[in-house]
Amino acid sequence: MNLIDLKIGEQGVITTLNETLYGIERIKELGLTVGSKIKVVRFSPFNDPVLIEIRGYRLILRVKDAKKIGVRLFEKDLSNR
Amino acid sequence: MKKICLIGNPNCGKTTIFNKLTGTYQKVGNWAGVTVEKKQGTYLLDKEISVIDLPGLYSLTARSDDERAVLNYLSQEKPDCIINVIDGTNLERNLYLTCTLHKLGIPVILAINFIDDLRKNGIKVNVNNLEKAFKVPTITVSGLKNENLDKMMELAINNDKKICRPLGNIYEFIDNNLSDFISNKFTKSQKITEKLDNIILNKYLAIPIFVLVIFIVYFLSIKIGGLLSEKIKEFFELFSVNTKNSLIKLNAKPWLISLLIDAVLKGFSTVISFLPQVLILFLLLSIIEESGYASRIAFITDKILSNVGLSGKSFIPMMLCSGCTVTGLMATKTVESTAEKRMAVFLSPFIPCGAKTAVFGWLSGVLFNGSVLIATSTYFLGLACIIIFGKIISKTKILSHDDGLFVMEMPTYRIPVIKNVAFVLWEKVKDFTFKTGTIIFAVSVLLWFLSNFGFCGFITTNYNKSFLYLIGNGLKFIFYPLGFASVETSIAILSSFMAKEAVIETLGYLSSNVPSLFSSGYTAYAFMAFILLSPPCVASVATANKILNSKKHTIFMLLFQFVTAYLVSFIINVIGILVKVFFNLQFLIIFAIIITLAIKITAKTFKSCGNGCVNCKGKNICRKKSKHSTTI
Repeated sequence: MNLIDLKIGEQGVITTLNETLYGIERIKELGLTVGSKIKVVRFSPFNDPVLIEIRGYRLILRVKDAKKIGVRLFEKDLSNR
Repeated sequence: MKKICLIGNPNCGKTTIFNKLTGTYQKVGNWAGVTVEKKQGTYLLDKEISVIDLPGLYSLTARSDDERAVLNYLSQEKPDCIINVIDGTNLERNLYLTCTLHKLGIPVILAINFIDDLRKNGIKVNVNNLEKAFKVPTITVSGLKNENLDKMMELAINNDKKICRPLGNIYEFIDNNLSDFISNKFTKSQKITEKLDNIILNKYLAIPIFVLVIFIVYFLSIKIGGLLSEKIKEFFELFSVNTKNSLIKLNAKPWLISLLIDAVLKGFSTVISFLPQVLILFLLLSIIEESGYASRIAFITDKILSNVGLSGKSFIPMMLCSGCTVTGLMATKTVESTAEKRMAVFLSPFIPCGAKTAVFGWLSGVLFNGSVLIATSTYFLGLACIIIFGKIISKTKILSHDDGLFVMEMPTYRIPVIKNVAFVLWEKVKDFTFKTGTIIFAVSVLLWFLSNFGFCGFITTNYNKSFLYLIGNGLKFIFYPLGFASVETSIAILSSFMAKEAVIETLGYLSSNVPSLFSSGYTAYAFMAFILLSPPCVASVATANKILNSKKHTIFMLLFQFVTAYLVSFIINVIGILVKVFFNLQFLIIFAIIITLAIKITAKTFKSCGNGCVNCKGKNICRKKSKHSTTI
């Protein structure tokens, strides 16, 4: 499951960062580290890029990059189902 | 003299603090080679202390020009103390930079900004814990409300403590040690941002709102600014007529009168008459930037620009280019990827700038009975050339890049601080008047000299003997395939390289009957296309050279732009000839269909599937997406 598979508003936890992700170091610096909580906020009118929420702030990512970020659903949301 | 540096993430309120500390006086400097600005000023309460505002950074890894410039500066200049400005509403990410500062070996203090905002929302920051964790003085401040800023300076001036090095992975360190005072509670401004974005970034409303904003910017700067420009020009014309009359009465030498009126006064009035447009454009753009809407523009336009190998970050520079190419090119410094920056520098001059727009307005008035359609079509011609030729040059060695990483922070909306906006405005206007103004002025004088002097000295009537005529005559054969091979047009093109608006002056000055220079509407349009696409004015080329930081790349850019201009004008001229020969539309339509088919076929063959496979050269049309992507 990758970041784009999350529904809008759903919270996930980063599980993997694909090594082919260009600029992976920058991604980590910005706080997208394994184990941190992440949320998809909205898509642009052309469905790409995507706006995400991480560590209390918001970041724009392209869909192709977001697909390389593996996530699982955050437990709180799982228990609601 | 003590040096105190402000360091922090982009958008952490550094500039507001800087302006409060130094008043309005500041010196904006550039680092050699790169167009990254550092601002320097003296502390209001102690003239012996200089405060330096550095570009915003996320870390100290020197990945972009901004970061490299800051690192170079810090290692060379060794400031006495660094004030690390931290956005209190976003502690977690801001502290990442703090955790890397130990590498510098320079004393640091921490300033948690936006304390007024935090207090309003009932969020507490435990300063003692932060002080314990980093072992440096820490203080909460508000740049906007001028709270604790002088105390902060006092701490910084007397501080010699270096920041301690965090253990292990930085975010782990933050998560483990600092999480007890990090609150991810939404502040009020974040909630307001959320509500506003629901409208402004709404799936259906986003684009209409965006178009409306752009339209307002254009309308105000080009229409209203243009009106004011006209008034200024009228005033100067009246003034120069009066001056001329009084000079004649004083029995001044004809060449002196000509120098004063046709060169000095004219050059001066050109510079001044540009000011209203520049002023309004920059006012609106700095409001857009300060408020946070600029990031939304990047968010909306990224998809479109990614087709050409650019990103949403290039939109603002390109938009600025419609005002003035020089400022637009300067704005490319916010683009991080070097290849993308080069692309933006190569392509943005195709957007008609204010001066080109004036030329097209004048030409369509003289040649096409004032057709608005012709004048506005140049915008679309420019855009089409960006898409078509952008695709082509993105395949060259200098400019090819794997799309890179596009990440951008989406800031909360902020009401623009008037002082900051006014400041940016003042800087830009000063920049325009002095830097660009001097060039325009110098060119006017040079042109005057070339057109009024020949081997036999000062010429009053017979311009066939002037230096300019000789040069134009020697060059006109180059333009023969484009359909306009007169001396006048070649001189106009030459002078357009100095400043685009010189086309109006030159053609108007040299020829009493401008339409007679062009054999048909097509050749006239080919001429307009050439002016649009040929290399921009000297001021822009100088700026481009500074950004590209390589003579080779600048020459490549000039060649690329010249070839594009030549090619497009040639095609327009050929179409004109074909229409004349066959004189029917059927042929043209078939021709257009063939061209579109050809473009479609080539585009299909060279397009990659977008799956981003490592070695994809797009050689075979990648239809089996799933199969292909497993071969990474």
